Amino acid sequence: MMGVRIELAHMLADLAGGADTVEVEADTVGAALRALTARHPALAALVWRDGRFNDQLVAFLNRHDVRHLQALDTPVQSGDRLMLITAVEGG
Amino acid sequence: MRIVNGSATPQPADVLYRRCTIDLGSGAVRIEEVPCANLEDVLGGFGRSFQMLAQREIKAAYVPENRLIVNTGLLTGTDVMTGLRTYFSAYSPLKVSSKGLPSAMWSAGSGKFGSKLKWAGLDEVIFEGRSATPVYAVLSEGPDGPRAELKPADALRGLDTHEKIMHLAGDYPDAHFAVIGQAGEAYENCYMAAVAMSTENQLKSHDDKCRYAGRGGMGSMMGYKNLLGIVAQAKDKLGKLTPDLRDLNRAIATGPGSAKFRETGKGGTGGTWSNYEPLHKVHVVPELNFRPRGDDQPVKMMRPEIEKHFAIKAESCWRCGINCHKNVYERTPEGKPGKYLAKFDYEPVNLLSTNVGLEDGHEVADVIRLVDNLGMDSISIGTTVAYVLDYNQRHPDKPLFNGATFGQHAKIHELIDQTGRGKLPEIGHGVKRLSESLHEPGYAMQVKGLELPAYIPDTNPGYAWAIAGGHMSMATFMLLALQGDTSMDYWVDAITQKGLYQVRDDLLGSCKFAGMNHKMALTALKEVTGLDVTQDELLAATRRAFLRGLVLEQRQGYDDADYTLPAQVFEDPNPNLGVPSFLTPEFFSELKQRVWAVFRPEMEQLSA
Repeated sequence: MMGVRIELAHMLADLAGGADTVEVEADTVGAALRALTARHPALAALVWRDGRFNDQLVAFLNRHDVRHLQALDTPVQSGDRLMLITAVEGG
Repeated sequence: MRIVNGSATPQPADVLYRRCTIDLGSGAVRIEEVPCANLEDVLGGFGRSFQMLAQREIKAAYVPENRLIVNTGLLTGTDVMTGLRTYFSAYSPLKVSSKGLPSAMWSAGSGKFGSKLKWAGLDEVIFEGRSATPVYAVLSEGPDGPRAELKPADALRGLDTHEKIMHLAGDYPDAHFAVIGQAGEAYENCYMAAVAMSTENQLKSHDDKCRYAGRGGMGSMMGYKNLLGIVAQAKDKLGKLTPDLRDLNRAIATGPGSAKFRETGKGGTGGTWSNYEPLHKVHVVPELNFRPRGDDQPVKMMRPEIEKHFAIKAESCWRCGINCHKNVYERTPEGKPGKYLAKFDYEPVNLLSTNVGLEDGHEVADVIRLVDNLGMDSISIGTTVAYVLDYNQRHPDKPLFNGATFGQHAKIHELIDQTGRGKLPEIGHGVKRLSESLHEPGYAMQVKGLELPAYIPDTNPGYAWAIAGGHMSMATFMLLALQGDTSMDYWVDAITQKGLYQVRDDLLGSCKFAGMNHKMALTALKEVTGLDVTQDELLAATRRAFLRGLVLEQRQGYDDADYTLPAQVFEDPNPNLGVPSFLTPEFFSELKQRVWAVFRPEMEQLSA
């Protein structure tokens, strides 16, 4: 299991009790996100919709959109940085 | 801004800001230091300007007593990344209550004008009265402090926004500019004119790459005042980056808060334009006047489709590492950027393409650029034109204007061009007035007199409480797609406890796209001003500023009937949406009661 740093912003951080970074142990992106929502259950309903990753969110592993990698199955390494953001913002 | 007592914890009255008041009628100039009354005054932006607007009772926008306040926030002109914002505040010609009274508005934009204003030694400029002849104002730094003077602007008349800026740039080195286009000059017939502000990129490339304070007709206010431009001239004043400030800027440029706006491959989704994809997944991308059809038409305007035919460069405001400007160029045979065409942000792209039935990239770039150069708010003109096209489709026997319907580029171009030149006041006065004159307001996409941004009202009851534009002053527009929660408690909380804090940056001088959390904002304030502000104090000041907006609305005649959504939402729900349908009249009525039960006691305290 690898130590992954998850970074959150805006309402995601609010739902994590104000935490903008959360360190978890995981071997894939999906496992890291499950560890995140286990630690902060208020995030679960947002991150998981009907048991699947909410497609109104975007996850980046070390600046790469995981949809262009192996999605939730993307392996993570110790020290990796995982950013989770909302897919829609104004402008 | 100056702190006078040297205390580590100064009170607002210890903080002085520098204000310049220019009487456009007489040319008289007064420059003074003003003590702050509260934290909103200290922070700046609309937090300060709305308190000033409250001092006068204004019955019509175009009267000399309606001041135009141009100000900055504490972070404007500092080394905090995105600290570039300028705010334009006045009673709006466009946003109007059902009783016909103008509402207080502010509109914000980046570029480098605000920084230059700050470096000239001014935090705020108030334009009183009205000039009898066209003028522009020159604000500059002098050996004894800031200076201000008015100059004849005959040579600027009739020029578009870019032409005005480049004309002034030839005369004023080390300066940046805020100007209006032909739409602002045609203020009597066009209430939706924007203020264009110059960028470094624009002055160097000579391409028309302004940034805009678009909402609420602040450019029309400049036009009414016969103020065609403002020059802010000063040497750049860069501070020394402290380690904490360097870390903060790195966090802004690479953190999750700005990821939405950064490039793909750089930890970003590719800018606001990328909203198309997630919104389309649930069929809520506005199409054909905010009426999604549940088909795949929006795909045609997604970035991957446009990139097949054009080159796109991510560019930025001065020293901003986010690079949120997605500029579209012709693609050369070598695949490189050729001729600049237009900026593609989500709002103008959607409201001037999918929502008016245009699908060709060249046609869309053409109308976006036309709107920018004439100096109009792309949201207001796009939404109002969409209404016209919808009306004409519903009434083929008695069409309006040139008879344009959805997808007719040449006719849509003509409507926009004529509106921006003051030839179509019916459109230029906005969709509320137009639809009411036609006795068909139900599908006019406006709330409280301001045209809706590119998020359909069927998904956002929060529009009713936005005070200065539906997506920039109430962050509830994305929630239904994101969370799908339709419970009453959820929406009351979203509006009264969360969404309103979106306006925090409109006090501070930072851009919302920086995505700073409150801790970062407090660090920024501490590093560049030395002020120790707590998070509770910052949030309380933001909340007071927002609620003053609602107080001012109600003083201008807004009543229960104004706080609503377009009737179509309730009377003809769209079955094509992929999100829950929940906005019944009963739901909305109860929501209003619950929201006002939270807001009203606080508003009464502010009014006392």
